[in-house]
Parts: sequence; structure tokens; C-alpha cells
Amino acid sequence: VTIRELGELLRRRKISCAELVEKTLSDIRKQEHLHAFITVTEEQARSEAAERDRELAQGLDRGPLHGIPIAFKDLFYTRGVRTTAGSLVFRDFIPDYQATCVSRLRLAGAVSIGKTNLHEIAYGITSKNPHYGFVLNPRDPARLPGGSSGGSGAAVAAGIVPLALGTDTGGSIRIPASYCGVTGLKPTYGRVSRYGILPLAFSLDHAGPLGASVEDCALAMNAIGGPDPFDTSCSQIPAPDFNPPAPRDLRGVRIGRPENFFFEHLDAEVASCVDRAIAELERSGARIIPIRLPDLNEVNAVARVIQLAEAASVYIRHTDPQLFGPDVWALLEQGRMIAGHEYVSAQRLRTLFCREFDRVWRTVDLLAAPTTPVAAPLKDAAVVRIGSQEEDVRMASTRLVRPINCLGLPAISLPCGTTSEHLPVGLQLIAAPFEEPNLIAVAKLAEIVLA
Amino acid sequence: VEDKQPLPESENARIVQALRETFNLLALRLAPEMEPATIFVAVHDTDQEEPGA
Repeated sequence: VTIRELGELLRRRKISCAELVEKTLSDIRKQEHLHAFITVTEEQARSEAAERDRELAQGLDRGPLHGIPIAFKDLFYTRGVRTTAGSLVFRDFIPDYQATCVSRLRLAGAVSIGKTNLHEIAYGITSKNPHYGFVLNPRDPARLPGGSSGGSGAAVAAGIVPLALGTDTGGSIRIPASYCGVTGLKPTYGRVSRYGILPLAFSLDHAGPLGASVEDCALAMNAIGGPDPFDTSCSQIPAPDFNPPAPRDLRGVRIGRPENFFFEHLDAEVASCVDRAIAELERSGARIIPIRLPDLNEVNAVARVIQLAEAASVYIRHTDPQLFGPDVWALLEQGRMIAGHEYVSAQRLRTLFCREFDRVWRTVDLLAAPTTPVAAPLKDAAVVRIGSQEEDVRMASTRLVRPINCLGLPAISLPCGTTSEHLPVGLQLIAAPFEEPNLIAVAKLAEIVLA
Repeated sequence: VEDKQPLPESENARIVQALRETFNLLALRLAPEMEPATIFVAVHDTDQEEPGA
């Protein structure tokens, strides 16, 4: 159920905010086996819902998010509510202030229902959290939900909430969106405040929504996007309307289909789904332009150096390996091996790649590509098989999304079909910096024609 | 709960070395006289101002 549909029920008094919260709490209990939540804020949610009901009764409507239950990845600071980052390090951490994103969504009327599970400290893609439970994929519990925002993806895919916030440092919104069959938006770097969000890699972290529809993500962006005096890394560019109507067609829109990188080493069914989606966009009037991109394998290498070094810096005080899962500890160890000159060179190379990539937008308005090269892998798989080759699950899952973090571009993943095993496939649309409205408009039409 | 045994240091070193083999070739492209602005990570927003500035 989308936010628009829930909003209509609320405003026609078919259901109250309080009833909606009770239904959500009941759904969380029924689906506890998913381990989608670390903390459920029952009493706070009931209190907020009662207040939203009183406001509606008095004629005060805060807008489309009024009374809508939402959840936050447990990396967002919530005042007075434990924020664990999925880690033992923060198991007792109760912030005395809250993230700007949290404040803005509550101000817009949304009701916070709780904190979602994640890959430990957001550093991984399986969401097999050794401390707070392995998140299951609602589409197939034998499969990974993706991560690191796995609890947010699972909560939306299971229909528990229509909207949950996540963060994306190397694909952590788009990967769970792809594997769980929901929509996830990573905005432009600097578009959404990161104040009050526990960092993983300062220059690669982004915050954004996972939703039941493109419009759900757009409505969230209208609440959270734009400058924030508390976050100096946040852009000063004013927020536009992130929720334009779906266009009637895509005439005049130039969509690039990459000739290199994105369609290499893909599962055949994923490739087929994405190409069918691109064909639908063409039938809707878009001009599909084959385009050769700068080498994104190189961008990936640069991004990995930056992420390893920055994450090691964030966790430099934490030296006890027993506090971390072995996969996370290994990455922190690897980060400590990156030399200072290598980090500096990586940031300089990144600037050059950003400039090189700017030229792409002279030829096309958007890029269309797969989000992940495979559908959700089996939860115990260490590798995925693509054709005759095997690839590490983490490297495969991040391969097509990580470079977009390094380039700071907005990108959305939306479902574009299923495999023969009924697993969702994600279509990734990528736009020029700060072009979220155009990206969202095209994604809305794509959602309609791909339904 | 997954195996709590951390990777041996040599395995971490091997992974980083493999990354370096790609990365060091890229770093050779950087000329020392390149403009200093390449290190600052504004990414796209070049007209940043401190609040109240």
C-alpha cells in the first residue's frame, strides 16, 4: 500500500492514524522472523499517532506524510531512542538529539515506528547481523535481502511500512531495493543532510528513502531534501519539488544504454529484464542512445580505497575485534593498511572522474542500467555464478552501484520484472547532479509502463 | 551467528595488495602540477558557504 493510498483512507476517515499504527505494530509482530527491526518504539508511535489524529480532527493537515508510519535505519540518531548502528559498540547508545532527516519527517507528520536492522555499522551487503539477527528477504527467506539497509528494504517489501530511510555508501539503498523488489533512491551527494547519521565513509555516505513506489520516495525527498545549517557538507542549492507528476510520455528524453561496464558479466535473466524495460521506455517515446562511459571499474577501485580509509578513520578508536563480526573487522583492518598518499591520490582521481563523467550529460539525460548483476543470492552463498564465472557476493552486489557513490550522482532502483524463480530485478536510472526531479519523473512513468 | 574468527593479517594484506595493483596504475596518471582543488571533496557543489558566512 502506498502513501497516497493510505493518505486517502486517513482523510476519508476510513482509518485513523492510531489504527494505522496498531496495524503496523501488529504486522511487525507477525513478521518478527524477518528481523527487520532492532527497536520498535510502540509507545512513542501511539502517542504521535494520537496527536496526528487530534490535528486532523481540528483541520490541521501536515501534508501527504501526515499519520504515515515510517521507519529509520538504526544509523539515524533518534533522541531518547537507542541507536545501535547494528553494532555492539553502540548497543547502549541513546542520542540526546536527532538527525535532521528524522526531525524533518516528523515535522511533515510521519509517525516513527522504530529502527530497522542493518549490516553491522552499514559495512556490508548481506544484513546478516551477528548481534541483532539475520534480516530475511520477504520475497524469499532463503535469499539475502541485500544491505546494508536490509531491514529497511525488508520492512517495505513485507508491507509493514510504505517508507523507510536508509543510507548508501556503496549501494546500501539500491542493493536491498533490487533484491527485495522495492524502490530506493540515492540522491545527489550533498542533497540530503547527514547531520545525526553515524558515518561510515564521510565523502561517500548518502541518506535516502526506500519506498513502496517512486512517489513514496519522492514524498520523502520533499521532506528531507535541501540545505541544512547543521551539515556543512550539505549543498546550499534550494530543494525543488521532488514529486513532479508522471509525464504522459518520454518524448524528448534521451536515455543512454551503456555499451560498456553495466551490461558486462550479467545474469542472463537480469539482462533480459532490464533490456525489456529499456524497450518499454523507448516505446514510451524516449530516445535510447548507446553510449560508451568512462571506465567505471577504475572508479570502483578509487571508491574502494576511499571507503576503506575513511571507515578505518571513523572506527580508529575501536580496537577490540571481538566487538565486530569477522567480515567487518577484516574491512577495518584492510582500511588501516591504506597509506595516506593512496587516499589523497584516490580523492584527486575521483575529481578527475567526476569531470570526465560530466561529459556524459551532454549526450544523454539519464542512464538506464541494471542495479545488481544478479537477483538476490542465496543467503549462505559466498559467491554467485554468472555464466561460467564465479564472483564474490559482496563484490558482485556492489559492482554496478558503488561507482555512482564515488561520482555523487542521483540514482534510483525500481523493480522491472522477475526471474523464473520469481525474484525481483532492479532497474537503475542514473541522472546528472541535482537532477532528481527529472529522474523521479521518468521513474514514475517507468513504474507505470513496467507494471 | 557467523564464525567469529577474524581473517589472518596476511589475507587482509593480500586483498589490499590486489586493490593496489589496479589503483597504483591509475595514480600514475596524476601529475604533480595538477590544480590543488582536486583534493577537495565538494563533488559537485562548488559554491559552498559556511552557515552565516
